[in-house]
Amino acid sequence: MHERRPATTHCGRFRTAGATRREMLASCLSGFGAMAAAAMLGDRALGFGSIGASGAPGALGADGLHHAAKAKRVIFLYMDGGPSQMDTFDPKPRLVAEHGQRFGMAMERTQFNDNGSTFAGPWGFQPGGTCGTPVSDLFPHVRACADDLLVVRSMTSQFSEHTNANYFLHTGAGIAGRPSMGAWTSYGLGSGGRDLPAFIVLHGGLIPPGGVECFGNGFLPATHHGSIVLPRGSGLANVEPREADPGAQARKRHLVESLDASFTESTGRHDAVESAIRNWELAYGMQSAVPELMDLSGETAETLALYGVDSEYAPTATYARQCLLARRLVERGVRFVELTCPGTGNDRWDQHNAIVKGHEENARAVDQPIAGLLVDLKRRGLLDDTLVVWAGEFGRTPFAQGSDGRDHNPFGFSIWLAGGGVKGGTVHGATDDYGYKAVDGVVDIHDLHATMLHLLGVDHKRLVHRFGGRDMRLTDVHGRVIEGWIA
Amino acid sequence: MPRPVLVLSTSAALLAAAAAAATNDPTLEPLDYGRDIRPILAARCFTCHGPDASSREAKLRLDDPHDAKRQRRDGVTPIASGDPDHSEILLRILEEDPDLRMPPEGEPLAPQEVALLTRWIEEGAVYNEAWSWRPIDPPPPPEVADAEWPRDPLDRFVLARLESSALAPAAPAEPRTLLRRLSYDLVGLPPTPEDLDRFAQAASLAPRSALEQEVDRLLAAPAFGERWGRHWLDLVRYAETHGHEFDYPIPHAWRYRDAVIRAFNADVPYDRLVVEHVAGDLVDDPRIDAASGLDESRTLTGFWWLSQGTHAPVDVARDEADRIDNQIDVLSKTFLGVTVSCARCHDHKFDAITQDDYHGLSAHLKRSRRSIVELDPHGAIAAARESAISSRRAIEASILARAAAAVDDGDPDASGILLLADFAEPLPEGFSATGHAFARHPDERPQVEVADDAVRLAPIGVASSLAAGESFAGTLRSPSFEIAHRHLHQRVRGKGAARVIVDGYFLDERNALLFEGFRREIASTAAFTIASWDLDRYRGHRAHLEWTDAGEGFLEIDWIALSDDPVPPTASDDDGRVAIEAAPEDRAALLAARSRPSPSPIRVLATTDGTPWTEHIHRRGDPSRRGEIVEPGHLDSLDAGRPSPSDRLALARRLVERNHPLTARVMANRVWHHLFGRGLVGTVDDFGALGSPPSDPALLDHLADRFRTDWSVKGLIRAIVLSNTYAMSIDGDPRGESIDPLNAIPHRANLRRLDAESLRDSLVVLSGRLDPTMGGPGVATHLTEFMEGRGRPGASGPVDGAGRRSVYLEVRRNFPDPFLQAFDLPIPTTTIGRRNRSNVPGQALAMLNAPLAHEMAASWGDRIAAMPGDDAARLDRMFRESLGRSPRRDEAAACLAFLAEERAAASFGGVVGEDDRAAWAALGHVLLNTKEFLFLR
Repeated sequence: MHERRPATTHCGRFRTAGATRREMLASCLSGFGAMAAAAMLGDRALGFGSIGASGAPGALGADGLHHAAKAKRVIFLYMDGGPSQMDTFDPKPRLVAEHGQRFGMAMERTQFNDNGSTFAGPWGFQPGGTCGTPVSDLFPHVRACADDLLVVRSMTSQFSEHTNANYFLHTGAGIAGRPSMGAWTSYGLGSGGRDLPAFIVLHGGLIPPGGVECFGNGFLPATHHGSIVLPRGSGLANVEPREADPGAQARKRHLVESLDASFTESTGRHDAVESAIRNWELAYGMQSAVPELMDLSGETAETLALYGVDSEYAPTATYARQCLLARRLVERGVRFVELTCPGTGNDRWDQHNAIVKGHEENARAVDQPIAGLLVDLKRRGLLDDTLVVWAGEFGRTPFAQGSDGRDHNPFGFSIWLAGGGVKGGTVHGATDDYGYKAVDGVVDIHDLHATMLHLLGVDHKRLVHRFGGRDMRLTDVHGRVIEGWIA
Repeated sequence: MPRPVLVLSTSAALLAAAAAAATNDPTLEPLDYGRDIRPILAARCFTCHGPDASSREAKLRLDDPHDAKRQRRDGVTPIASGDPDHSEILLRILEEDPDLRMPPEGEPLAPQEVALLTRWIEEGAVYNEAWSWRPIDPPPPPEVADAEWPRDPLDRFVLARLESSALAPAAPAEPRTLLRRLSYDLVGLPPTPEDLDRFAQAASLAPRSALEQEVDRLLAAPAFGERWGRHWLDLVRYAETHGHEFDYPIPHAWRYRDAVIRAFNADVPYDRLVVEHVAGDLVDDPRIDAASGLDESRTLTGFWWLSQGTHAPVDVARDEADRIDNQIDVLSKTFLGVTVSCARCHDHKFDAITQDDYHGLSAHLKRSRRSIVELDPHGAIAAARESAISSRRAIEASILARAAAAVDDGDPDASGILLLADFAEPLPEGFSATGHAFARHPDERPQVEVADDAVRLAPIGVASSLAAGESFAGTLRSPSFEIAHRHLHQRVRGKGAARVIVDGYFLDERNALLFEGFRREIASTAAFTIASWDLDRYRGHRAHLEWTDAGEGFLEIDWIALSDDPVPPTASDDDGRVAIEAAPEDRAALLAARSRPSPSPIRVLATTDGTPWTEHIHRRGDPSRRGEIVEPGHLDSLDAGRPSPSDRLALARRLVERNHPLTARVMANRVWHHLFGRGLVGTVDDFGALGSPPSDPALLDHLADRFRTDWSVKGLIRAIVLSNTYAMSIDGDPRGESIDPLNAIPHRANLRRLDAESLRDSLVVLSGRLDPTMGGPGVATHLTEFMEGRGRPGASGPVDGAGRRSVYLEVRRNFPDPFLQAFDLPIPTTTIGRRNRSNVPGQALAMLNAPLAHEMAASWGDRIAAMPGDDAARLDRMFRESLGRSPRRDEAAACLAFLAEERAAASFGGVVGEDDRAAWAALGHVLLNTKEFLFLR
């Protein structure tokens, strides 16, 4: 029934099928619906291998996707606070020329509304790779990977406030309560592995403004909530047995299973009970799968050094572990891995003042680990079908806030994508001469989401979930697949 | 995919066939416009031929029967009732030339859609309303073959449906199973072994009266309100913080939670509960809680303000529009089960809700203010105030007998200024005051004042919070005005807060960014001073002013002026007022009266009524794109031409009129949902065309009709849980699984997982640590290393939540309790009438390894180990406490063997007695991990 929906009117996304979980299962004709219903029922809480399990007619390809996928998984490098585009991936000679002068364009109201003169950062730009995409001296390691990067210089957001912009970047809406893109990916694709959740947040220390709702399942079933994994210790909450005696848990397990068997005997077959039993077994297994994931002793010294795991700068070492764990997670079939930033004592990338120190330290924390991740994925053959996305929630103003900071700027900023079927070594779009507003090839967050889903083999208009009387989408009623990004 | 191919020689052939199909089958029920037709038209036609005039083509509205059925000048009729062959829309839909075919974009309509449209036109093209908008019209309970089975009339509705499917209802549940179910459903706690024994014994003698006794006991238990109040909190997105970046606290939110719990315990009639939520500040007979003496009606209006909150919004008007959007969403879903928010940007495509309706509701909310209101427990402050005023006046009278009357001092009279108030009256038109500090009438104003050196005539033309004395607290609020001048000047003195509130924005009290100085402390107790604000950034916005006297002094405002001049206007203010001869004892008496202590107010987050404000349609939902003016309203299509409700109280009363089709149905369905795990309408918050229709409309109307006779929630619950439908076991007729797999007409009970709170509360009960204290500030959240971010509380709360019930744990939007969240405690964003019931490994991990599970099991083990009796008796006790039954023989054997192993394992070098407690704790942990504990039969 999805196929009849017209593309022209956004209210065409409404369907009139029954809306409770079992009703959806009973009534859905095609793969996404049936798959989603299965997930909601908890029948296959963690891992349905593909979205076409129901053998739906017509709509889906043999692999269960809407179309052939270029990427099987996503690593999202979230740059909390909003890095400055003019100081990273969008060189603006005019800023240097007019540094300290009155800003040459009309200024929009900003978060702090303390807007000064035109402001150039101290960092030079050099061409990277054979493509020659210019990258600033903040990112020498990433610059060496320029041939893998699709730099988008014309991204826009709708919000000037961190929290709204974070929710927007993560969920496609500027308020809390919508599912994160990782949750949607989990909902659409399931986990590729059996012993780990599909959506994992590798947490460096800075939870974004807006809190864990940035990684929320919203109205999707809770199984799609991002699981927070720390790059240290046990990694995952409640994964460490508390019994002092190593045999104790096995004895408990034996008795639980025997009592559960007696319960199912007396109640007959009930899906919910059976999946609870399966989940209990799975959880039991995760107690060993997660420690195995966290154990880096099998990695070579060269690999550890490549990421910077032993860096003397603690935030670099933290982020290096995150990047290395990200690779280990995608190797284990996890669909969506998000990395939050490590703390550098500079309040994220949010440099309202002292941008030189703040941006340098933030870049130092993530530059080598990110490059290490790209190189490592590539040499293991994983980059081809792993989409890496680097983005903040907005950019920064080309004019100063006070004397040495930059305020929030949603009107034009840079992000980049790599691997996963995107055109590496290219630049998309442009901002004006100051880097203030996107003027060419303007795209927004909905377009990013639509294109990410497209690369995963998913039509963003058909990945829907009924809630509150509407068929909800990651892209709400918006979003275009940017064909030019696709290799 | 290959397009569905429509092979037709002529369209007439299909029309004929479809029409024949319709007329030839007398068993077909007539089609329903809302259910069957409107969705097709809305999806495919309304964009160009619907309510939105801006995108309308060919001046044709297919949503309006008059226009759709009107013959056009060229003789064509879009929809000819009863005559598909002459209905132009069908001819255009079936047109083979793609350039002429409708709709112009996308696939042609599917054959079954065409058949539906054809049949509907054949049947007369009746634009009837959606089922939920029709009046509640309960048929009499149907006749049933098995006249013995029904106990309550509702059973006859259920049984009649089962009999029509040749299904037998399931046998009644075992008494112990039934009591466990009842106990969780009514109070959210497990029954004690003593409850179970008593009931099982009584039920063997007189099952009905035994059941009635248990039901009445549970309904009367204070825990009932904690259980059903928590259901309610899901609807109003209850939280104690605003979320967003710093998760700022919502002041006094817990008082709302407590008022809700008390209201459910007191069985406040539901119609009254609705009115108090919407407009409890405006009712003329506020409901006072007997124990606390608090105004419950006022407190319930706090629900409007429990939303998320953005600090430092760059666009404050949009911030307010988004907040109002959420308020309307919660209002409409909670009370009416409809989604009005869709109509923020455009008329609702499916339900008869227009953009006018949305903005009509918005107009009520723009006029309503989030206010911290000072309540007066048991009226003690009012009494103290009255006595303070009269004794002060007596002293003043004796002084004034020797003095000339006071005169108003000067107020500014310059050109170019707008004098917002000169306070010739202490409470000018449009001003309002809460609390007990501010004078409301001229004779409440002090007439003399005492300074260190002298007694003088008091200034007359002022707003004064010295009516009764310095210890009295209160708040004064100005009318709203549009900011048309750059500068605001006030002449004030005293000690307290003065605020400028723009577009209802309030978080500047936590973070002043972009509103620097809008809230400021006045500290000039002797001389008047002029406070000035620069409002330039907010020209054209709506604002009002607020002054708060916290009860630690006084505030007086002489005048308020708006001007474009940064220099305040001058006035012939006379601070050298006439000194009066006063006897020393008079002076001392005055000073004593002024500093007399007052009883303390209780502050609540509530709503006050502000200034009626002109609301415009926001084009595409954008507040900066104003459309035409709308009046405050309700849902127009329910009002049938009556005048719109002019204020919130009128709106509230409209919602609970006996013939309102939605309010009673929605709540009756919620009650059913909570008791059966599934509503008769599965989409409990959406009774619109996109929701699921009722599985049994007659039963729903029967329940709604009974409910609206007295609006007693407890009465409705009592009737349902005493029915034989509720008492069925989960073991139903196997044929039912194919006939009605959803169990939409219950032929058996549903197996349900315990919800988050019931599960956690059970752990606390078993541990023996339950603290039954009711109410009070939320218990601090226990923080783990996985909970980080801005606004993280400085200190972690106890693992066991201090033994309090889950409803009393703090609800922090950005730091939800991870244990409760794992079991689907919703994130409070909007109305959630039906929680997810997920089934994820995180839940199993929590039961396996969370500190809470281990700590509770350990306490439980300690308690059991300390009990008298042998192992078998203790084991029996554990089973009955947790699972509501004794172990079977094989289970007992397995458990005793486990105990022996544990004792052996723990006894290496252990302390005498420790091994035994550890073994019982381990067994307890096992029982908590059984699925039988997790599920309710």
